[in-house]
Amino acid sequence: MIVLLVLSYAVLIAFEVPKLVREKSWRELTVYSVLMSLAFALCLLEILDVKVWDPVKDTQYFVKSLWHLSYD
Amino acid sequence: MKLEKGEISNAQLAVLTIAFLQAMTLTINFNYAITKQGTWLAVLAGFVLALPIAVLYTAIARRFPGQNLIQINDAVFGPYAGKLISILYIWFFIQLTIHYMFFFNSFWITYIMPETPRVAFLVMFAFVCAMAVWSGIEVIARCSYLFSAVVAVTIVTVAVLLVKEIEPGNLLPIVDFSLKDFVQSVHVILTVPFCDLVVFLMILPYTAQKQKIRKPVLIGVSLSAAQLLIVAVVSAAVMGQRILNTSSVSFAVPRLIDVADILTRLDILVAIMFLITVFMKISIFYYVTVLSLAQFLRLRAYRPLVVPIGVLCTAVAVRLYPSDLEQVYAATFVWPFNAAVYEILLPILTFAVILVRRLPKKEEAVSP
Repeated sequence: MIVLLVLSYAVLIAFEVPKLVREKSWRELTVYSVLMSLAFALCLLEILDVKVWDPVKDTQYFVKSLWHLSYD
Repeated sequence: MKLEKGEISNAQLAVLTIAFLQAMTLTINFNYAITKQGTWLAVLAGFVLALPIAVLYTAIARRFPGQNLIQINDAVFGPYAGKLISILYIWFFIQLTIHYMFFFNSFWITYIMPETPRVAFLVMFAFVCAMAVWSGIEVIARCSYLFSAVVAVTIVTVAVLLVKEIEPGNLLPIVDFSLKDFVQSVHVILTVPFCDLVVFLMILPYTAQKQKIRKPVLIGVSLSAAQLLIVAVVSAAVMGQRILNTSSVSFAVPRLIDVADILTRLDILVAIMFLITVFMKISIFYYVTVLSLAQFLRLRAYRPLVVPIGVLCTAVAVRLYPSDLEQVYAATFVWPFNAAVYEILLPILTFAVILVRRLPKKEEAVSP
């Protein structure tokens, strides 16, 4: 599964990066690299069955515990 | 620099609004557990409240023609507070994308192909949505003509074929819920489907006639609400009290259709409708997320963000909730408050500041 992930990423990077380099879009390339690294890390952790971030819990914590709002 | 080169006509805006809101014929399932067979009353109340909010969105957009929400935030709240509010909005758009991705996946896995791994559908679906986002708003708007027509025809066809099953007595008692339940149901209808329309503040600058956006948006909201009303009334009239014990009413109702043992198992029509409406919904959320992030980071184009954002959202959406019931709980008990901040409170605050500061100043209005 990890090999498949690495291969998929290689295809995606080959699809996008050369064009950005050719156009000298360095700002776009920086943002792309940061987001792709983050996405790769998340996918890898997902494959390894490690859940590092739960946006639902964060939202529910804000709404229920901090704002004290809920229909419970 | 304009990130989106495309432009849509005002007629396309109306159809795009309909196609965007039609997914509420499926998210209405969240409401049946709260207001039961009287859900159609909550639909009517939600629609009445949604109209002034839609007017508010268009009023903000008309003050800043050619500017999207991120640019409007900067102009209204200044560079620092504006940036902070923009970050909150981008986070909200990402949340919407992720939640609808999970919603799509859980429906498909639960009702259509339960043996398939969760990630399989989501990856394919995200890929199709990414293609739509990559193609831009013009292509998404052109898709909306066909898709909104297919969904509208499906809703009417299912309603007509169910006439035999309709029992008007099933609608009684109409008010079989407390005032708190009614408020909750209206809140859910208002924030989950209707006021998602706030994302159109990123799309309205790309319409041809920027001062004539109110009418198409209101027409879109009204026609979508009419379709939702048909679904809510027919579902209640067919199911009656059973509406409480059914996990997906929209999917269960067409199963009752039986025309001379030939036309049966029409639930697949709802599955197709689901696919189409959620595709439109996720594509627009995804497009708006990418566009707002590119605008925020002052990029020259939004396309380099399409793939990374798609992969990020897919990775998070696969196991967003431990079960479908968790999502139903979140959508009915917690999410309406979270969404109300971005969909109702912040737009009201934005318009209040616009009025107090008498924005836009003349030079801002001239240069979009």
